[in-house]
Amino acid sequence: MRDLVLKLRGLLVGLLTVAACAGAAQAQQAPKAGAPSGAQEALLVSHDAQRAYTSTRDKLVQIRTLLRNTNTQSSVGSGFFVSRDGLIITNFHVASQLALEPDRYRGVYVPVDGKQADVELLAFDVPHDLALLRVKDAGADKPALAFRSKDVALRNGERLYSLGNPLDIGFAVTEGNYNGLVQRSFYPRIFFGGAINPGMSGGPVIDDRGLVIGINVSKRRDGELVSFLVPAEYAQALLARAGGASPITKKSYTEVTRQLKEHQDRITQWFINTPFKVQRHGGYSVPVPDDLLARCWGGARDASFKAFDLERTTCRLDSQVFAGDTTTGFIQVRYEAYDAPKFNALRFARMYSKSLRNEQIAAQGDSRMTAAECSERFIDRGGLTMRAVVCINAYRKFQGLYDVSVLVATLNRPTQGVQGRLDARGVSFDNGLALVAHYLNAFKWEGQP
Amino acid sequence: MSPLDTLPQADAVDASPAPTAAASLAKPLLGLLEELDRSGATVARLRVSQWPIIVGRALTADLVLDDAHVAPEHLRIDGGPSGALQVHVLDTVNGVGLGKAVYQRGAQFEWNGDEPLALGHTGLRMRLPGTPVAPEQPLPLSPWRTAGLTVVLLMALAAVSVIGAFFSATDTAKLEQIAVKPVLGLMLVLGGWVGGWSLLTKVFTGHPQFWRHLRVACGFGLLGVFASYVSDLLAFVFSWESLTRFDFVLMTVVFAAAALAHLLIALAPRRRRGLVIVVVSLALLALATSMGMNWLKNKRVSKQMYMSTLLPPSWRLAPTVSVEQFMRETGMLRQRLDERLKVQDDQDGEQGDEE
Repeated sequence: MRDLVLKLRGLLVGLLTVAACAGAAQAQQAPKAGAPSGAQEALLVSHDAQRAYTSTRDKLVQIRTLLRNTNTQSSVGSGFFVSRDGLIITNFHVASQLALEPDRYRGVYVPVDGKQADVELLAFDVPHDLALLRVKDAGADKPALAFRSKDVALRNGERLYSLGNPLDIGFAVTEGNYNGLVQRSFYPRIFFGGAINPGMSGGPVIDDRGLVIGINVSKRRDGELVSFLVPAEYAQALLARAGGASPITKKSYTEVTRQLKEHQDRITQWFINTPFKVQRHGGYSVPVPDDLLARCWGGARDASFKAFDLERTTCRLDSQVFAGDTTTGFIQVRYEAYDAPKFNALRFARMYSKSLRNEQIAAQGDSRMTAAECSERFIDRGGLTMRAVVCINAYRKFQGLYDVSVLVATLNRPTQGVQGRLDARGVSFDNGLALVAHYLNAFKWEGQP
Repeated sequence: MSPLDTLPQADAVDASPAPTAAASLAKPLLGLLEELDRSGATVARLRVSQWPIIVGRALTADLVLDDAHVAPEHLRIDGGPSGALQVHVLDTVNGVGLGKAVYQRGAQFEWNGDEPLALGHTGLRMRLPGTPVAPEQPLPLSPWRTAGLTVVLLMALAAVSVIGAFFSATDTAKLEQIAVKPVLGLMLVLGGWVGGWSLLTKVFTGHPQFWRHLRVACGFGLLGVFASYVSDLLAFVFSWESLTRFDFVLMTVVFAAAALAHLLIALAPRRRRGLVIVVVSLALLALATSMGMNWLKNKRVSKQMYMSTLLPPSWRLAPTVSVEQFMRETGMLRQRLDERLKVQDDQDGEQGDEE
C-alpha cells in the first residue's frame, strides 16, 4: 500500500504549508459558489465536530523533535494525553529520531495554549507505529483522553473525529466515518473515511462520546479521504506495558531491530504457511500469494499487438513498517510471462535477456545498506530449468536483517518463458533463504515436454 | 663537396641542378646521405663524393639542418678504408643516438649507414654504393581489390547492425524503420570517427588515408561485435558468469587495438614499439581506473551484478543444480556480507552505542 506517513519533516514545512493554504482558500470560497461537493461537505465542521474539538483540545498536543544544537524543528506530529501524570501517545514515525538519535534530537510537546515543554520517550511499538512519551516535568495533573472499550464494537458508517495539527498550521478537527478494517493489511488498520494530513500523525480519533478509537497514521496519496488509523487497543497495550518505563536516552537500534526481527518472523511464517495461489501462463504454473495475503495487480499488452503476448502481475504484502530512515518488513512478488510463437528462438532470447537485464539491484552500498552480494545458477525444479539469481543486501544499523531479492527466468521453451522476482525486505538471513527456496520450489511446468 | 637536394616531401624526386650534377659526375659517388623527418620520410639528400662530411646547423656544414636541437657542427662522418663509416660526435649538448645508445660529445663509433642516426629531432641515413637496393614494389594489380574489401567490411558492419536491430525489435511491422535507423546511426558514428582520424593523419603525414581508416574502423567494429557475441555465448553455454561481468575488459582491449591501428596510420612513427607501449599503458590505466573506482565504491571490480544474457535453452551445456544445492551455495553470501559490514563500519568508524 502506498501510504503516506504523515510525519512532516522540517524541510518540507514551507512547501506543504503553501499547498495547505491554497487548499484552505478553496474551502473558504466554496460556500459562496453554491452547495459544497461531497469532499468539501466532509471538511465542513459540524456542530458535533465543534463539540468534539472543544472537549478534546486541552488533551491534544503537537509533538516536535528539535535539533539539540540549533533548537530548530526537524519533524512535527500530533499526540494526546492518556494519563494524568503526563503520558502521551503518538506515532513511532513522529518520535523515531528520539529513539534512534537521542544525542542529536530532543522532543517537546506544545499544547493548545502554545507553551512548549520537554518530553521523553518511554517506549515504542515499531510494527504498529506507536510511541509512548512522558512530559518531563509534569507539574499539575493533565487532562487525559479515555479509550473506547473493545467490547463496544465500531459500526460501519459511525461518525468519527480526527484531531491533530496539520502541516504545523494549528490544531484542527476533521470529520469522517468508520469503514471497517483495511483488507489484506498484515496488522489491523482502521479505514477512516476522512481527511488527515501531514502533521496529524499520532493525533487521536474519537467517537461521538469523545472516546479514542484509533490514532492517525497514514493516508493514500492516490485517493481522496482514504486514511488509516492504528486501532486504540494497541495504544492501550503499549500504555499498559510501558507506562512506568524509564526514559530512553541512548540509541535504540537494538530494540528496533528486535521488534523488526519479530515482525519479519511473523510475515515469513505467514507467507510460507499460507499455500500459494496457482497462476498459469501457458504451461507454467507460478506461485502467487493468496488473495488474503497480498494485493495483486495484473496487466497485459494490447491484444491487437500480434508480435508477442506479455502478461504482468505484481503482488505485495501490506506489512511494511517504518523504521527510522527506511520502510521495511514487506514481501513483493512480480511476474512477466512472455509468449512469442512468431519469434525465432534467438529473437526471443534477445527480448528475454533485455527484460532480465532491466531488473534493479542495489549494487552500491550506502549509510543504510551494504552493497549486494549475488549468487546465480541454472537450477532444475522438477524438470523445469530456470536461471536463478539471488542478491542480498545487509542492513548496517539493524544487524541481522537483510533485503533479499531473487530473480528467476524459466529456460525450457525457445519462445516462451516466465520471469519472476521476489523481494523480501528486512528479513533474517535464514528466513530470506527459506522464502527464496519456498518461492523457487513452487514453480512448475505443466505443459507438454 | 656534393650537391644538396632539398625535397618538399618524402617521396619528391631528386631535383639537383644540372651544373651540380655534372660536377658530381667528375668524382665518384661515395654515398647518399638522407635527412629524415620524425615520421622517417626523407626530406633532403646529400650526394657524398668525398670524406669527411660535417652535419649541423652552421653554414659551414655540408648538410645544413633546420633543427633547433642540433649543434652548429653536430657530427662528422668519415669513410674508413674498410668501407665502414666512422662517426665523430662534435660539440653538441644532445649527443647522437644510434639505436638505444646515445653518444656524447667527443665520442666516436662505427656506423653501417642503414640504421638511422638521431640528431635532435632529425634522422640521418647513409646509402653506400655497395648497399643492395630493395626490390621494386609492384603497383597494386587492381585498386578495386582494396575498394572491394572496404565495401565488404562496411556492408558486413551495416548488416550486423541491422540484424542486431531486427533481433532487438519487438514490433517488426515497420521493417524499414528497423533497417534505416541503425544504418543511419552507423554512418553517422563511422563518419565522425573515421573523419576525425583522417584529419589527424592529414596533419601528421599529409595524406588523410580516409579509406584505410574506414577499413580499420569497420574491421575492429566487427571484431568487437564478434567478441561480444562469443563472450555472451560462452557465458551462457557454460555458465561462465565472469565473462559477462568482465566484458568491459574485452571491449577495452578491442578499442585499444583499434586506436593503436588508427594511430599507427595517423602518426606513421619511426618507432612503433613506443606507440604500442603508450597505447597499452593507457588501456591498462583506463581498466585499472574503472576497476579501482568500482572497488572503492562497491568493493568489487565489476559493475555487473549478474549474468543477464539468456540464449535459446537448447544451447545450454552447463549443468543444472537442485534448488537445495543452490540455496546451500547462496548461504555462502552471509560471510561475504558480514565482511562488507565490517569493512564499511571500519571505514565509517561507527560506534555501537546502544541502550
